[in-house]
Amino acid sequence: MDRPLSAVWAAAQGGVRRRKLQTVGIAVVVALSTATLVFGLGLLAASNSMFDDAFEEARGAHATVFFDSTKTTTGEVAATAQAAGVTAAAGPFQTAALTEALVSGEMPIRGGDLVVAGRAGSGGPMDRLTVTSGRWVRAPGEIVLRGSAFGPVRLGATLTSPGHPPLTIVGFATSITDGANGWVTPGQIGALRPTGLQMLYRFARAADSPQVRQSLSAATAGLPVLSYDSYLTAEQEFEREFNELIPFITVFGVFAMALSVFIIGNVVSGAVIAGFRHIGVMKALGFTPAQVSAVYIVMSVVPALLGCAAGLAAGHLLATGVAESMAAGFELPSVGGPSLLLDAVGGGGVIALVVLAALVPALRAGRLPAARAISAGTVSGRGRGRRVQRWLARTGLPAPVALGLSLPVGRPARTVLTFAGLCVGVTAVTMGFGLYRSVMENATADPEGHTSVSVRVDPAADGRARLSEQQVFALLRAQPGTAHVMSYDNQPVTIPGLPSGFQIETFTGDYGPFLGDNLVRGRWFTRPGELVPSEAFLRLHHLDVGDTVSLQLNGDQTTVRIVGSFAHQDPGRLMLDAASVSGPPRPIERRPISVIVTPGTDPAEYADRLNAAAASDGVVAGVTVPETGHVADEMSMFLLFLLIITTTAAFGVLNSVVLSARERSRDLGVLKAIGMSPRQVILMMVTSMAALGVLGAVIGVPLGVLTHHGVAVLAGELLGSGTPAAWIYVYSWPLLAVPAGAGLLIAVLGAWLPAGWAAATHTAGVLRSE
Amino acid sequence: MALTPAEPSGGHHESVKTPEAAVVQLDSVRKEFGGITALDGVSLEIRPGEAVAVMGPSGSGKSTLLNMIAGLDRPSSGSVVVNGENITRMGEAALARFRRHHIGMVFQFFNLLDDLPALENVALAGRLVGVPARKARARATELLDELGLADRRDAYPAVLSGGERQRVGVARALMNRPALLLADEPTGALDSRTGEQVIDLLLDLNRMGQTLLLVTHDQHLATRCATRLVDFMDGRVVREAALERHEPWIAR
Ligand SMILES: Nc1ncnc2c1ncn2[C@@H]1O[C@H](COP(=O)(O)OP(=O)(O)OP(=O)(O)O)[C@@H](O)[C@H]1O
Ligand SMILES: [Mg+2]
Repeated sequence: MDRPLSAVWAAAQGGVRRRKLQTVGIAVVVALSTATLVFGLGLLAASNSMFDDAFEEARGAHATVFFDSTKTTTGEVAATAQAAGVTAAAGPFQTAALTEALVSGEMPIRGGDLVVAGRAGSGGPMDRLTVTSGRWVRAPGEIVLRGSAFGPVRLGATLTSPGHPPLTIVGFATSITDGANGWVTPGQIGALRPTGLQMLYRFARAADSPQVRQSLSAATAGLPVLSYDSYLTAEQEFEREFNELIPFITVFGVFAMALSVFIIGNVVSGAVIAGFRHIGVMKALGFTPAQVSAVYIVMSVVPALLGCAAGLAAGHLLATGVAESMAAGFELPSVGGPSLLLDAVGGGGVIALVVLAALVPALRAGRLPAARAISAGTVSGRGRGRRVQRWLARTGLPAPVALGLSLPVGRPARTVLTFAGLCVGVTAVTMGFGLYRSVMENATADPEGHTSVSVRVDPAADGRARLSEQQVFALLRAQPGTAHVMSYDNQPVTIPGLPSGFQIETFTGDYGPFLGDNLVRGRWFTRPGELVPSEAFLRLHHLDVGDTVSLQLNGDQTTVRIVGSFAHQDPGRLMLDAASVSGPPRPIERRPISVIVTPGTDPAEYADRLNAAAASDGVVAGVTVPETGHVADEMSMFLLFLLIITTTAAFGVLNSVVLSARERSRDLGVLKAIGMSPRQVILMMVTSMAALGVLGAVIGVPLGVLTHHGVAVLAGELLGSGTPAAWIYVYSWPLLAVPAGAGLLIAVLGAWLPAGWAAATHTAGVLRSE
Repeated sequence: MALTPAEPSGGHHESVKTPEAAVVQLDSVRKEFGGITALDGVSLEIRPGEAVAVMGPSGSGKSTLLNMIAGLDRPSSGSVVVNGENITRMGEAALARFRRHHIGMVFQFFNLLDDLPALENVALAGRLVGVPARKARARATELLDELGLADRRDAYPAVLSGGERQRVGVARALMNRPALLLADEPTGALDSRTGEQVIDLLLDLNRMGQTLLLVTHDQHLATRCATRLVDFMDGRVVREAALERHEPWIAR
């Protein structure tokens, strides 16, 4: 039993040694596709576990409950900690709402109220906060804010709110639990006129929202609950960010796997074809068909295992890195990482695929009749492509080109596999370019993305307004270079019959040009009374264009008609003309003003001119730079994937040329002997692949456009944001030219090196044999 | 006439030569492969119109000599001048150009391209020199006709007999009217009767003025078509002899 096995092993070793390039190639290709797969799986796993891990580590609260402190006492609230079903509790903490909070007199905090809780320390049995910069509050007059420093919101800055003492920002902290957005000492909170009591709970049953709700009402029975936050909201938000990536990663992973299958299939069948005589000899020596097949499978599985191990390590590290940076984006401590079990499953899957890819040619080798295998030098695809080859020889094409074009015809199976690889490469490049466009569109779709200069008007020293809104607009419109001016505001609003959590975003001025290309349905609002909510809002509440919605604001109720929806996953966003809602708008000093300059006007010069001209009126202008920082992460990931896939496709071409050159070494020798120059040999070999590259573009580009379409729509569906047409139909002819050329480029680059080798082989040596 | 060779001075290159300049001029050519000395100081001259047969035991360096003259291999030392061009230090591309214009090669195992029919195999050599497809095919047709393969033009090598294949090989070698026809054991893979036919063909060509260098093991064939015999042994020329060609029943 032992001897046949070792014979298989020895024969396979010989095969590996004779085919170093292909063996290394298998290892590299498997490494790349394993890395891609494990990276994808790892991120998916991380998206599931990372929040939970961080939540456990920080002892996050399943629910944060706000009680009306005017209707209940601290003692009553504290007693709920002992209620059945509550496994842990913290609080009650007094909370105050700071309205119209400003930092350093200029930067509005989160557009509305800042909920502040009085809390002695950052640790404790529950909701352990992580102070990311600065320190925890020690004395009255200090505040720690949730999040991180941003612009003027930085350590040492002063936070003011009308009617409250000023507070100095001494630290920034992150919390896994929603609730307060700032923390002061328990002593300080009393001076901020607290109106609420905040209580944090962990429950025995909190797996889904009904459970959280049940556990909560059981614990707080009879007490005046104002509102509550569930940990599920934060968890979903976190997972959503990952969900956005899933379609991309999946598609790229599938591409990489398909490429490996094509290439491994080619390598192994190439080995079988080249080793025809070798197979005959093995059989003559007494190898059974199964053993011959085993030799060829072992030959590809051994390097595949090595590549798989390398790919596992690389993919794991990459996934860990990306997961960490995403966790940091969510202000989560990074805990754990991708699971080792998943790595093993991914690696096992890749190896199984390798075996499958090798199986067909290996079985063919096993079935080969020994006598035929010994007598036939090589197998030549007789007949099949002859007519094409003869036709090509008769065309007026230069001989190397005609011969090159006829090469793929001789080995249809290999040509199909190589071609499929090229198609995948072109598809990936096409899709990648489209995704780049989509992501850029997405990043600049909001009004800020359309703003060239942003303007604010500071109040006078006595706090009173210097200019009315009309005056500010008139001043700006009088500036040379002004094309459009608008101002923006947002405030919480309620919709009778729907749960809370809505914000209206209102626009004044000629806001039309500021509204983005991110419409999913209908059109933008053009006059008061028209509403454009986020697509997520329409989906959540089963509403559509044409329906009406009542908005309740400042005690007044207004009915507006839905005329469209924009792509966003937040179901709480409602955009409309400011004049739609009654009541006086907030003073212009509180609202950012946006300007679009006329074409040809330099925004920086414009801002400088404006600052110089209108400083006495409190006007401060600055250039708006679209925020595309987070896009860079995604882009570099796309780029990495594209690089992996195009390199792999090019390797597939290289491998194919190596196999052809090896099988046709005698023909190449003859051609050189009758006067084909090295350059013509290269031209011939490169032409053979270039033709496939061009054809690959013909198939791959449309396929890439379709894939991009599918991926973009799927991403929008998974996010619940919908996908605007502007993010789907991103292709223009010039944009398609690049991927169309990519097929040719991959083919030529992949073929160049081995074509050079073929041109440099020693002719005399080749012709000696036989 | 399709079989007529180029003028000895060659039409393509304007080297300064006397009409009687040698087609091949080897001067103390050495060739070593690792430790093996395949050619050990060979000097040889072949004049236009000659038919030289190289003989010698296996491994004595005959094929190496032919490769050297065809520019398929470079000498370790010494110089090789063919048709007035010193090819000793030529680059690969220049060598390829040299070959396609001046050299025709005939191989023991024919070395036809399996995927092309006879006619295209022959025409290909012309296409490499840049002859338009139509013209190349016309000349190839003519050559095949003259070599008695008029009805085998569209046959693939696999269905041709050995003798037919070798005649296609000769036609291919003649395609560009080479100054020198090299044949390495052209009858080695043929039975004796077919072999004789091929040798007769070469003899005919030589009579029409084609300079010929032939490697063969067959003394009989050598004496039949060569005007000079060169004996090789261990990479050295051990004997040279001019031959009286006895041409018994060649009727042409
Ligand atoms: N490319 C090569 N690499 C190494 N050794 C070589 C090479 N070509 C020829 N030789 C060696 O050079 C010597 C001469 O070989 P060559 O082929 O010229 O002999 P030959 O006279 O043609 O023999 P045969 O009659 O068997 O064809 C031999 O010993 C051979 O092994
Ligand atoms: Mg020889």
